[in-house]
Amino acid sequence: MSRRRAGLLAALIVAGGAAVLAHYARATTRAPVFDALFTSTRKVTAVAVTADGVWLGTEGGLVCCDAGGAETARVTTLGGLPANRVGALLPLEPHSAGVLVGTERGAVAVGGAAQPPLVGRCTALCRHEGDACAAVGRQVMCLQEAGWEPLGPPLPADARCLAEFGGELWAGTGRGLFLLTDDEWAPVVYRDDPLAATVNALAASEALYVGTVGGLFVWGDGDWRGYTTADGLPDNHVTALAIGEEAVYIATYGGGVARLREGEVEPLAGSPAYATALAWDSRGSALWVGTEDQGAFRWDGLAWQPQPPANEPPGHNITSLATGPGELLVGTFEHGVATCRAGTWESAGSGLSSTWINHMAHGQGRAWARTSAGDLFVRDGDAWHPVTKASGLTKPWTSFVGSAGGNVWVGTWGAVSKFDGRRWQSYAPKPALADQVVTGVAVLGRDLWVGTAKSGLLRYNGHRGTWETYTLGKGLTDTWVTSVAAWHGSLWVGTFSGGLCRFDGRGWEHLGAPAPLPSVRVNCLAATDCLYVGTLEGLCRFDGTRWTTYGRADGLPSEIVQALCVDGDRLWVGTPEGLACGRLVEVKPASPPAVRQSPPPGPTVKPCVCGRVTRTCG
Amino acid sequence: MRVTAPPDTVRVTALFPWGETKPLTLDPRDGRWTVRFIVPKGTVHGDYEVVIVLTRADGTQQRFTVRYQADLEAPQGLGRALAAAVPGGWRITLSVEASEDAERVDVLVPGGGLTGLGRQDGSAEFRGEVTLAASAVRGSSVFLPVLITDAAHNRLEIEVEVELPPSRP
Repeated sequence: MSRRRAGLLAALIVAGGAAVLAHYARATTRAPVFDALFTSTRKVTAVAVTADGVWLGTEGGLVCCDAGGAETARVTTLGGLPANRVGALLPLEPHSAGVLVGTERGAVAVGGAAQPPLVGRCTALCRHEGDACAAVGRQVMCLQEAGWEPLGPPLPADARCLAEFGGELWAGTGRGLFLLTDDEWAPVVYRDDPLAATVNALAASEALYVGTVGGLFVWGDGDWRGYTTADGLPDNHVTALAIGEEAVYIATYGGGVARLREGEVEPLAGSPAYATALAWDSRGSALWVGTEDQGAFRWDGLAWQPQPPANEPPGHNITSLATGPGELLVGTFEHGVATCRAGTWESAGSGLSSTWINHMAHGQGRAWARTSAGDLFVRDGDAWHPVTKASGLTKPWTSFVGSAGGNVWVGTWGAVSKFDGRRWQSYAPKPALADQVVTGVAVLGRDLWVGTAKSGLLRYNGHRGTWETYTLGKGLTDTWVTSVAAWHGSLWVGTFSGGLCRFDGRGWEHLGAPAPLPSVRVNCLAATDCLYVGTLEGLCRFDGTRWTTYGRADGLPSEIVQALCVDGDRLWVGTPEGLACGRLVEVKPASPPAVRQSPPPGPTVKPCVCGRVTRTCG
Repeated sequence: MRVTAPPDTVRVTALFPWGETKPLTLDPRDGRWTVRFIVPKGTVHGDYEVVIVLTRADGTQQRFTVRYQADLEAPQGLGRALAAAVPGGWRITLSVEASEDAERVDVLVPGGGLTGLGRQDGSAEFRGEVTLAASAVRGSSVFLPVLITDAAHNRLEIEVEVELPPSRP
């Protein structure tokens, strides 16, 4: 759409809504096709070795490597995983190809013969009497010809690990070890210690090995033997076990990897400290170790070879997004800021006071980041520098940074500041903005709109030169504004628990759940030729006439949309489980218009008894 | 979550009720161990325990628990109101007895927007006065929507009926 045409549209919208909708319905718009997903595979939760390679189950999907560690394939929700967070792996058949992958939302087979899918949070897998078994919460399921069937009654606590030993099935939980006998889970006590009762790992060969938060315990020859730091274990917190050649390998959380050989524990020098998963590759005589945040390591008996994750963002809980010339700026929970330039990811956290980033912006030629602690930073070269009161802000603590109307806007407690590239200008209208936390800013025509966390919306009326408040009963359906955006002559206001509100210059319209939005919690907005609304239950697109909702079935890794950003012909969607990229392709909108008209906002006074509860929202 | 640990602590680990394990990091500014976590979506309202494991320099472990509440329930409250005629309308005195978790109480005045009620010192009672224009009301009573909100933005909406005496011109 040309700029002239867009401007004409905006003018028409101000002139008359109905005429605009009719006009707009004939225009071609773009819709996202999600065909790329970026996650972090730093945290490895499970490892399995099969005939076709080494499989790393991570919090960002499944990675397949060759015996040397080179990545050969990556499978995420885009490739059919129920969730990117992998909890357990099991080779489909001994010495064959493919693995059964247990994830946060179910288990599927990858790389081998198809298996019936399993639904639910799968935390452990093992083979029992030749059949695959899976733990889904407290219930163990067994794969039979007819599909997955319950095996035994529910456990007293969620299963963390499973193993077959002596022809029987054992389950480790946060409340101890259990043995399935006579269709009952019988508790097995080896030490009266709550840490030892938190079972993380099981492995079986000629003995049963039980890895707990309080040490390693071995059942063999009718007796239990315990191993702790007093016996040479590098740390009592055992996370994973693997049966190797003439040794059992022990991963600990903080102390690295050790091996148990002929009753003696021997720490493996140079091993990664926070080891989270283990597998022994008998063909290559190598040990594979997954870690908390460094990907995997391969140990050939002599040296540790890191297998760092390939080109990817440092974290996949994406909290904020912005685009600048030739780069995408990504703020994460706990992993700072990352940039993606020409397909290459880099961490860009130098100088930031916190790794938890709440807001990213690009404006006046610079990149801006706001941390969860309320510190504001501007990027200069490759380093981030704090923006403080000395720089021109009214307060040291900030609540928001964004770009609107060509300027950078920073919100704080009781004030909003504008940076036009040369100087800061602050607005602190009292009492309208006094004691209010600013959550968003939008510029529409000559008006400035300021969202707050507790008192709705403020408007600086550019014609009258006055500040006006819009809150419950005056247009809004919630006092907590999460996001504001100007789109096609209207102001769109996302709220924490009141859905979306639209102001067209004359009146307010409320858009709620379950239609057209899937949730009343709006997290973020992005305006391009369409309006995009990120909610707790999915992404919505409004093309001027019709609402469309996108979720996991459309290629998003999660329904929780935390950040949105449009970069030319791409829509970036930040979720807690990864960053999705949607190619924006042209579509012709269908007619007739399907805008759902909600009841007008404001107090609906209905006869009732005194003090009657009319609505709760939690 | 921030934890104070003995000086010879070499590691602190948090075991979360949903099965996740995370290491705490030592904050050199105040010598405390800290970790951030996100309660999974779908968690139900209630109290939860995080197990904290300290590992000392000699390899010994200490275990203790930290409780937190997933606050997903709206606060409770009941209101009453008294109206006095004033020129052009009524002055309404509102009193709302709210549960302890209530952070703020607001009343929606027809035609007048949102007005906050003030918490009475040391109590769970919120009080305030609002003015109601005669032009905004028909009939001899009105139902005022009252919103009781807690710190987690859980919200209870009630309606308080107010009997209106004859208004004065």
